[in-house]
Amino acid sequence: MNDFEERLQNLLNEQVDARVEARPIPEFFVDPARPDERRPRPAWLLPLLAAACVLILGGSVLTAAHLFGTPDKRQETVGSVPAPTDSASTTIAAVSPTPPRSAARSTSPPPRARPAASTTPHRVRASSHRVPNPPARVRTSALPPTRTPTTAAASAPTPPPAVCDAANLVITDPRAEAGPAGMTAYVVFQNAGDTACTLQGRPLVVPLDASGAAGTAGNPAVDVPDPAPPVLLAPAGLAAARIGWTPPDPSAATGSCPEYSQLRVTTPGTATDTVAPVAEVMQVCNGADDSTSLTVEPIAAGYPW
Amino acid sequence: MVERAHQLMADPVRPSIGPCAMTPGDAESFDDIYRRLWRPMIRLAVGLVDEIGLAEDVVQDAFAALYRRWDALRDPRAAAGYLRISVVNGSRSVLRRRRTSRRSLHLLADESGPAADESSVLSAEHDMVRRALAALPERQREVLTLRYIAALSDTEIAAATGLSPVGVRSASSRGLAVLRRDLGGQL
Repeated sequence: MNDFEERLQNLLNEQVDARVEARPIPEFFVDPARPDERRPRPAWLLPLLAAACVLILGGSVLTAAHLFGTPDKRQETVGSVPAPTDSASTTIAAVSPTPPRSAARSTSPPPRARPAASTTPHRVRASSHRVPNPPARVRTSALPPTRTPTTAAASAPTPPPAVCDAANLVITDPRAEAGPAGMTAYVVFQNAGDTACTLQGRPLVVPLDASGAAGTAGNPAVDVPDPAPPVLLAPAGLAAARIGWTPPDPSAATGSCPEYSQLRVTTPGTATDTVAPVAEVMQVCNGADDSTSLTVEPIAAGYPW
Repeated sequence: MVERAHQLMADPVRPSIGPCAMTPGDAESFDDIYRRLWRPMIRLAVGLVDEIGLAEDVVQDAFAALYRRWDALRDPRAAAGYLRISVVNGSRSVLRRRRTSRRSLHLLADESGPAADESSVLSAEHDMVRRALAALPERQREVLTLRYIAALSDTEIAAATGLSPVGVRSASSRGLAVLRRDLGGQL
């Protein structure tokens, strides 16, 4: 900065200062304290957040104890008794066909699977679908246990989820859909146990007539592993397998169309089966060569409706 | 020009740190900033508009704008830059209004005389320098005012005026050359 600039700067500042110095700082016309008052958090916010954190932590600890603590206790009490497979019992909520009438669908309440007490077979529509012999719940104790947890597993902190085992039967109002390929319904599984379990593959579904006699329809294999991924079923979790069949069609040449009022469902990987009455009688037509038209797809997670 | 400066208001003064980086205890309150920056801002505004009453209006408007933006302005250190931009913009508007009104009132003569109470404390040299600066084109006058009265760097001047640093330097040198030509023999 040369002499001229310095002189210029001094003169400019002197004349500005001469005019400004005497001026008092005026009061700001808005209360300047107000914006600062908005900044601090309310005093109750911190305790509230802390309480919420404690609640969330406590809840998750309780849930974890509930999830992982129960199977250990059970296995300790059971000891080495063979094949108590109801540690992860499954509710099969099934299945039944509705003929392709839309009026029947609109009046049906939303299907809500109800976990039933594991000691009594669940018959929701018992009056109309009671069968002479009560739904047989075959326990696997007489059968060779394939995946019974051993006592050694009791020491493990988190045993891997067991394979789901059919124990209870709940009838819902399934919504059979009439599609281009025929009728579709779902066999719905609900985990009624306290621990998570897995389902993988295709259930064996055998339709029974009113007397409980097995029909000719039904997919043959139960233990054939399917490429479908395993479905982890949390307690009260839902999974479903879609079944399809050909309904009677006057215009098409089909074989006989027997009527079925129950389904015997065997979960994959187990030998336990459960008999579920169907909400409405399903008419499954055989093909012209007398082969069944009932198809069963692998179990998928979730609730199809 | 004003529009461009308004765009700049949103950008260079935006606080660079997040809302959680500063605790309320560290933050300077609006009141503190007002008391600390009022005098520097009024000096700048007087240099720009050359009238103390107009300068006070401009500065009050600038602080009012800062007050409205206070919640968005998390870093009080950005307040000075924000206020400078507001003062420069406000001075431009005031000068534009004054030019048009004076042109319509044919009051172009004696447009820059100081008030009677002010002239008594100023020497002839002070008045001459003030008049010479006020006669410069807007951009050169702004740059020289920000440089000599507000003592800002070229970067700060560029941020306050919306000019590029090259534009700041060229306006500064051209304005200084004019002043040297007009005043050189008399200072």
